[in-house]
Amino acid sequence: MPRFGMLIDLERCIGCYSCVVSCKQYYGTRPGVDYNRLGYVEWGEYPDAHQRYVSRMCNHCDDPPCVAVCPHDATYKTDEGPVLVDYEVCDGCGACARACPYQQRYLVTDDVTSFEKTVMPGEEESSQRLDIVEKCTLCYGRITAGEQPVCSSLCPGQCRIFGDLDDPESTITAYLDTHDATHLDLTSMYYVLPAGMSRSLVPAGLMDAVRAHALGNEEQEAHGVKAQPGIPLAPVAAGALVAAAAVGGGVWYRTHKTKGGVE
Amino acid sequence: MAQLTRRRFLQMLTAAGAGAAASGTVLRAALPAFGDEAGAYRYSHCIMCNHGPHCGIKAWVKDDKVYRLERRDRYNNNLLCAKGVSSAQDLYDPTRVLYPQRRTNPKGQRSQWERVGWDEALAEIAARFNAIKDEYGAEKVLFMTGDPKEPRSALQRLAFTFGSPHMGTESSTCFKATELTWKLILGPEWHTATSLSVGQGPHPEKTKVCIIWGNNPGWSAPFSYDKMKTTQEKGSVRYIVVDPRVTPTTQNFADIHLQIRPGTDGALALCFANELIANDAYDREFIEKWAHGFAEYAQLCAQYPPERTAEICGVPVELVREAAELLVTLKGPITCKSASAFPHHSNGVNNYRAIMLLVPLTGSLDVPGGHTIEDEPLDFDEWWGSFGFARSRELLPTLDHLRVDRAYFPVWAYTDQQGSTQLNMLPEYVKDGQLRACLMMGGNTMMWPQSHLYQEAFKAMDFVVACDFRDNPWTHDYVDMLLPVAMSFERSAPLTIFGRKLFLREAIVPPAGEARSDYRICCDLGCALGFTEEFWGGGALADENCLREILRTCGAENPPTLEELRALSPDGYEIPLKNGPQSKKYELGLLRADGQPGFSSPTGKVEFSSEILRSHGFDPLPSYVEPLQSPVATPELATRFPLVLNTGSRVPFYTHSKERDLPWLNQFMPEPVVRLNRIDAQARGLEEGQMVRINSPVNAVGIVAKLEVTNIVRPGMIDMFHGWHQANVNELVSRDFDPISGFPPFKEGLCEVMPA
Repeated sequence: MPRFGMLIDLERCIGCYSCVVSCKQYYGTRPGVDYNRLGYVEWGEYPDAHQRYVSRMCNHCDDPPCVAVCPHDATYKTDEGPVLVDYEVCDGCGACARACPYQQRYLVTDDVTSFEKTVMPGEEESSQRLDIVEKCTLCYGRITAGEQPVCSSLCPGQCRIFGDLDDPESTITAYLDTHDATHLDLTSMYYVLPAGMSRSLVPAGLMDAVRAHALGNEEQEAHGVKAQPGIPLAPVAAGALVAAAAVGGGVWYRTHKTKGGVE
Repeated sequence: MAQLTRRRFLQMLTAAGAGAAASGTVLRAALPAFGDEAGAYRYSHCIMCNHGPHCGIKAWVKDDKVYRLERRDRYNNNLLCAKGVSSAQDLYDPTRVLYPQRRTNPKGQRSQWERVGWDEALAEIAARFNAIKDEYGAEKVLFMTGDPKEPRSALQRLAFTFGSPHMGTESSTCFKATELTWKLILGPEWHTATSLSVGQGPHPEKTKVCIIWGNNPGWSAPFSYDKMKTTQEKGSVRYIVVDPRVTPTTQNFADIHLQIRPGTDGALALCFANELIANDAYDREFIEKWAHGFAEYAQLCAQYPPERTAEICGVPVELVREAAELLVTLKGPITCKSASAFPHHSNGVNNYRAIMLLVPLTGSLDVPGGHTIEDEPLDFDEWWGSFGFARSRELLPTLDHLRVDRAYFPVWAYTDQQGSTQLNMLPEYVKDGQLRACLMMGGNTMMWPQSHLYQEAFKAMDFVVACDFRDNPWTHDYVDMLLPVAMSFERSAPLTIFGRKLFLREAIVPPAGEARSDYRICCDLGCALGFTEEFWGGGALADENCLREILRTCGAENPPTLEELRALSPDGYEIPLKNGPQSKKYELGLLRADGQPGFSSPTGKVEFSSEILRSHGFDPLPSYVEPLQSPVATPELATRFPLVLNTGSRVPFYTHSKERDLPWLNQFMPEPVVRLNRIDAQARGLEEGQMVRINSPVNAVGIVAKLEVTNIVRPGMIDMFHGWHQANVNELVSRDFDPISGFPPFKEGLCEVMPA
């Protein structure tokens, strides 16, 4: 039984957004539902200014908080690692989306498609789904058939290294052997950070993320702070040097909605 | 089976071929559910970024609809950027133009159209063009392409057959000035110039230093990035990156990043040259044998010691010294990876010439690890047709004396061999009655500085026809007729060409509405104009007939036929080299028409001092000249407009003004954005996300955009992406064209930013 994982080498990422859009076109996801997200982070000042792109997705946690809170067992962790949702069981209560410390679940409540009143061929299937939760599947169908996730497969920077973490011959194992990778503890994800880049600029490990999420949630509810399209959500980890993703650079969409349209 | 869990069942299912018949609920989470039963993979190429060669498309097609795109293996460029994968969305944009349309209200107002049939449209265009030809001459009709580049060869054939030398392209502001620069160095021979200006990138072991100069291929040419990065990882190449901006390229590659003041690149290049010469670290043997004007050039370089250069460029002198020392220590071969950014200065060609002369200076010309010249070039032209198909070699010599651009840009006209009119004086050409009608394919008035003057020019013409995917008011409000064009996946011409490797690209879905391929439109119009034989009767087989002619005239000994390519498809066919790769072709007599050693330049040598420029009355040396407007050249103006205006570079999700309508891409930058360093924003009391006004000496009213405060730009400059019709930054740019290339100064000039 393979144990799939992914490593994102930020030295190779060119911020081209292929991961976001290759996924969108493959699954026909609705506007605002991006299983992959991308934004930039910055630190330093001219003449020693830095900028790097950070791609974020579901980290496919070992013991996912989203699975624990699902009242109907609609979301579950597969033996191979990916965390999936059974759309026929999911009733769209949104508990998992609220529980996810990485804000990587989308409660789909708006019956919208890319072009108004037009369903593109790639959206025929996805536009049938409403009032359910969607998320990255790590391309479960593709990877269990021996292929790469579509984002890894098409990535022009080839920065998304995918494979079986238990296979000593796999690409990802070889990459981990030769690179100083940062593991997001208790998840399936790794990042290779460029020299000088703070650990706090990529997602935290699961326990840290859960703690920060609890605090962040309280604050959000207390002040009603919402991230608008185009404006970054606060970074998950405290101590980020410069919170980023910006007007022109990236989009961190809201991922929390409760049923009934109240955001 | 009783013990078979749902998940185990799913694993078996997917392992057995991605679930042909079943529609397990979990499976639907992971796979599109349209299944494999009636669909098939079909193969095409992507044209979203308007580069060539094109990235591969492997599309899942069912009921003649494209459902999804996947990686096309066994193909040269098999990865896809965000724009590439969005071509599946482009195809289904409900605002596409689907029928020929004729204007019913005056030009200059928001267009009102009436639908007309193709036959009626073609007959009317032919009648209008032929009437102008009869009364004023065929050369009064302009044929132009913008984006995509694909129709160029077919439109050339149409223009030259009709009798007009006036075929122009959007390369009037883009790639062609880099090619022109190489022609000034080595001579007008086209294959030499174009292979050197495109460049191959560094070789992992043989290249010593790669200078990436104002180029961010991650955003402008993502298809080239993986190979570049692998070269860096596996090899021993050192990287100097010269760029006023912080980009993924400066971050991922630079051993030394020189974040210079925009427009000062020429001084830095001359400084590098001087350090190489002064330290005897250049290729003395090559220079003694092949250089012309070297002593004059060396004298010029001597005026740029590191201290002065650092002051001009606004970078620490230690960094300049460190970079120069790297070059002096490692010597050649080097590669200079650059692009169209440099010609976008009033001294653009000379700045670029100073940079590229580092290649012969270090003995890096046509050697492994340096800049190589194409082996045994075929007669494919740069636009994927052939010289024979485009009829440029056959007809242009008889038409060239009629071209209108020579009076303004004689060096451009002299070095051009393909009939590529420099379009940037279009308002003047029209005002003087030199151009009266136009057929444009993918044209866009926003590509020019002071765009409104070009809108007025099209409005003033007797008759203008546009062929396009969409009705774009900033251009089409000024044309008389709008014709629907088939998109990349709906057409079969031109071929996909990677040097000597050819792939047949055929339509994978039928054209939407009444859209026709641009090759077919050229053929149909050619027939309507009276050239039935030259355009093989037009019609549905037009693309195929053009491809047959391109293959027939490509210059290979036994060119593959269309049928042979079809039988191989989706794999390609490589036309073999007769002799294999050869270095230093100038020593072998392979670069001149007369077969003699040397180059096609007037002196037969590498011209460090250009005899072509001298004969046209220009400074023959690659002299550095301060931008016409800059904090240094015009300090008084700079008190009111203190920021350097930088535009025309790429963002990863749009190509120029294209793709703004695609929701998959539009989400990343839904509105015009101007970038400012934190220091400049704070000095003006401006905040991230605020709406700001940007104005310039040529545009007091200015434009409004959203402010992004970012490390991308160095202090003292702005960076703004072009192509926003609601905030067209080119309206802030002056028409101070480089007198050699005719290129506009998109990357110099001054501006100011204030609250909107």
